[in-house]
Amino acid sequence: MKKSILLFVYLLVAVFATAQDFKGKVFFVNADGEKEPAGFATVICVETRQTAEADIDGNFEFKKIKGENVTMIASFIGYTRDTLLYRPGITYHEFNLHDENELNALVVTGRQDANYLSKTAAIRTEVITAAGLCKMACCNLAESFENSASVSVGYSDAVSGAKQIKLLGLSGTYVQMLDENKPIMRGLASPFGLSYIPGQWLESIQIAKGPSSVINGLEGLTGLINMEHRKPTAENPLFVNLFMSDELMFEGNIASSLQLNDKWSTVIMAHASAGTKDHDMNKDGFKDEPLKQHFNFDNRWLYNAGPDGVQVRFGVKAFSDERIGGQMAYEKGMNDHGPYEGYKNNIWGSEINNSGIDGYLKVGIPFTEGGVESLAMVATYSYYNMDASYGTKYYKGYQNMAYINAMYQNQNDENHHYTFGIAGQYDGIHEDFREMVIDFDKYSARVYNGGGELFKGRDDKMIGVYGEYTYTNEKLTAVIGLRGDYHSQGGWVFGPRANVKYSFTDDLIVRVTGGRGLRHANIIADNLGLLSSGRHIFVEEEIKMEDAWTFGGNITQYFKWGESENSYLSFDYFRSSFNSQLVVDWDKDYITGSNKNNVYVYNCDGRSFTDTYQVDLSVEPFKGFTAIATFRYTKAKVEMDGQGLVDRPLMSKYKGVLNIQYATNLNKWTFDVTGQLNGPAPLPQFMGGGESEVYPMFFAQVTKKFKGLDIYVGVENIGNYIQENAILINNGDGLQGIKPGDNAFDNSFNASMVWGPLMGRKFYGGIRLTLWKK
Amino acid sequence: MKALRIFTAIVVAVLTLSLSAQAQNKKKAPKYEEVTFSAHIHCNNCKAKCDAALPYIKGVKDVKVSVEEQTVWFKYDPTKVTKQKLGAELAELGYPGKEIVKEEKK
Repeated sequence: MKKSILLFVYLLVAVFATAQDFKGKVFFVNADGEKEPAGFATVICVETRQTAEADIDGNFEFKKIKGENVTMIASFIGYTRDTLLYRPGITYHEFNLHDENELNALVVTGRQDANYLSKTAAIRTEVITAAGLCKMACCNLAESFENSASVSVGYSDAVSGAKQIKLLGLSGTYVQMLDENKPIMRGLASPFGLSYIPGQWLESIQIAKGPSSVINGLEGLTGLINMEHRKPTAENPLFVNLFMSDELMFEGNIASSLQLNDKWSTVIMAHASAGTKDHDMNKDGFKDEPLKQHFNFDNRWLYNAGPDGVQVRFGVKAFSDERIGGQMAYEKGMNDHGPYEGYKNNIWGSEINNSGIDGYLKVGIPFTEGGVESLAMVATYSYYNMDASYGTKYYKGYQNMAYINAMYQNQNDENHHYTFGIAGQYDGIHEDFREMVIDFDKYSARVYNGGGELFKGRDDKMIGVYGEYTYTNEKLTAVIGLRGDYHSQGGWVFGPRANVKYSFTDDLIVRVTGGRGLRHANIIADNLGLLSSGRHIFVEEEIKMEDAWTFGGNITQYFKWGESENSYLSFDYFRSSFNSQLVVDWDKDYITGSNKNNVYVYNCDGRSFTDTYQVDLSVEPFKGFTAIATFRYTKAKVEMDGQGLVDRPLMSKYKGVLNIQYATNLNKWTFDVTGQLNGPAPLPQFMGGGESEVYPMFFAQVTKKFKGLDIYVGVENIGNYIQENAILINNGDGLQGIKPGDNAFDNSFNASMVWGPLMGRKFYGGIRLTLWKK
Repeated sequence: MKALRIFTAIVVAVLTLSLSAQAQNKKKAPKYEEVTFSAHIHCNNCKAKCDAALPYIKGVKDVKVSVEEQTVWFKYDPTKVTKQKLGAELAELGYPGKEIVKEEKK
């Protein structure tokens, strides 16, 4: 009896309660646990789509909640969310919102996708996450793009092992490289730069296509690649990675993130790698890849005064790299006494020594809560030294570069943000280029310096001012920027840029972009292949600043299918068109019938443009199984002297990539398979014209995870596809692949016509050990 | 195209493997229990820390860590591990949590 009365009372209360309003209050809780009302916080009921806004004292109410099990979330920008699982009977609840330490952290739920398209960015941004970086061995940044069709990676030449990327049908020199939003890999540092960013140091990479913001300068013509390194705040006091391949290439990485107290933290990263054995799988008498020894060290600091306080970041990085390439018999030091020595022994060799050091300082000062009004400053300095010999060519260069950028950000209201800034840059590049001309009859050599005084480096001081305005509402984001830079070499240049994103629905997003990019060309550094040929380099005129407009757009449709709510289908189109561009012309003498056999460098006065179309599809049909398919088609045209408008040589016309991954429950086992179909690339006329072969590439990797330990094994280039005749020579009976015994010192020697892989099938294995802070 | 054949073989192998793993999951599923904790997991760093440790607790069959909802969901084998033990492991990582009990449907 008692029980039933109780039940009756309970039911009555319950019924009465459901009829009642729900009231709540939202608080901010600071680091010391003190509470204050969270005025104007937002509260939503997920299932019933009801929303409320708290008043100035943090109070809010719902007249009637239209469901029985409702997830009620209170939120405020810059603070964590607080959730209540509402049931009938609850009439009052207090929500506590905590300061969010990392304001800019992307909030990702569920399993981390390896590659995805950002939904929030106004610019078409492809993100490769830590999970994506682990899909392949990714020894360095260059190798981390194998899963991407947007970016293709290839060798600069068949000797130095330098890798270059291509984006939107143009060389990677037109992509601005950023390290946590500081410009890097400029000038001499660009040709080998990608190899000097160990993949295991990275947390994520963002690839943005099209002209992006004006804040970091105008140098990105076709896009921008930003990389995020391991963070000082990561709770990983120790990370160790060891890697080995069947060709006796070793690599080790070690990283340590330490939080010294609640304000100071640091991350230390070190890398060592070595290619210890030379091999010649294609039997052309040349090392397939140079012997290598690379050391790299980086230390980054963060001082964080608190959620709304000053943030200071600074760091220093140093590296050295030595490469020895060329014919199998070539040994270190043989070129030291001049190439004539090498010629006498008939051994063609290449030695490259690069080293550098750089430092940076970043300061952010928020004036208001959440950093809405703030001042930020970035300053960097870098020194880079390159000392290279390639057969008969010697190139020594060093550069000092300094950069400062200060910006002020504020907003009128939530919809209108603006940024103003001022920037300064100093590029001091010194070059010394020499080429020995060997007189075959007299057994003597003389120095020839190619294009006269045109390899004189650059001494450019730049000062720039810019403004950027961002309008945002629920559907539309528009970013409009204008920048003017004054260069001591080049005068005033102006670049407007605009990016607009419109969300028709939450799942259908359209982006449009357009703008101008300008940069100083670096004849040798942008075209490293010039060095690995026997031809004289002939610079015909003073090289102008390269200047291009890029326009494009993207449509992305997200949809629910299988296991993922964020499956997507995306389509891109971009067009870059140059007003002025540096052109390297290998065909001029062939076309005019001259027997000089030079390679010519000049400004393209005519047309130069590229059109790129791309489709991406990402799905997760069932749990743990993801598939990403992407296809790119490129039309790249350039007008060359005496040839008219031709296909840009060595630029592959299409690329398809299919990546499938299966991860068992809890990702304890991960299986990855990637297939690429690389389209044909137009060949220069002197090689007979036509196109290169279409070739597939396959990669596979298995990763087993234990607590704190990953073990991985994999194979690259499973099909063992190698470009035939990567090094060309004409010893009297026509242009053909070089063989042992051929005279490599002939001026027809050419190792820079590379369009395919130079390394055959490669097996590798490695471990990753991660300790977590207790 | 020898390479293409190798690639196809690998694709088929991965598919078969994943499908059989799926089938196994389905067979075993009813034996396991589930629990959700509410914990102050507010950033990706916290999530990464949980994702690195929680799957390796003996008896845990599946884990979902949500930053958005600040929850940790476990599927576990009750003969090997208890709710209390899971809660304690979570607390040891620095995220003491409360169990979220959903109302049973009537």
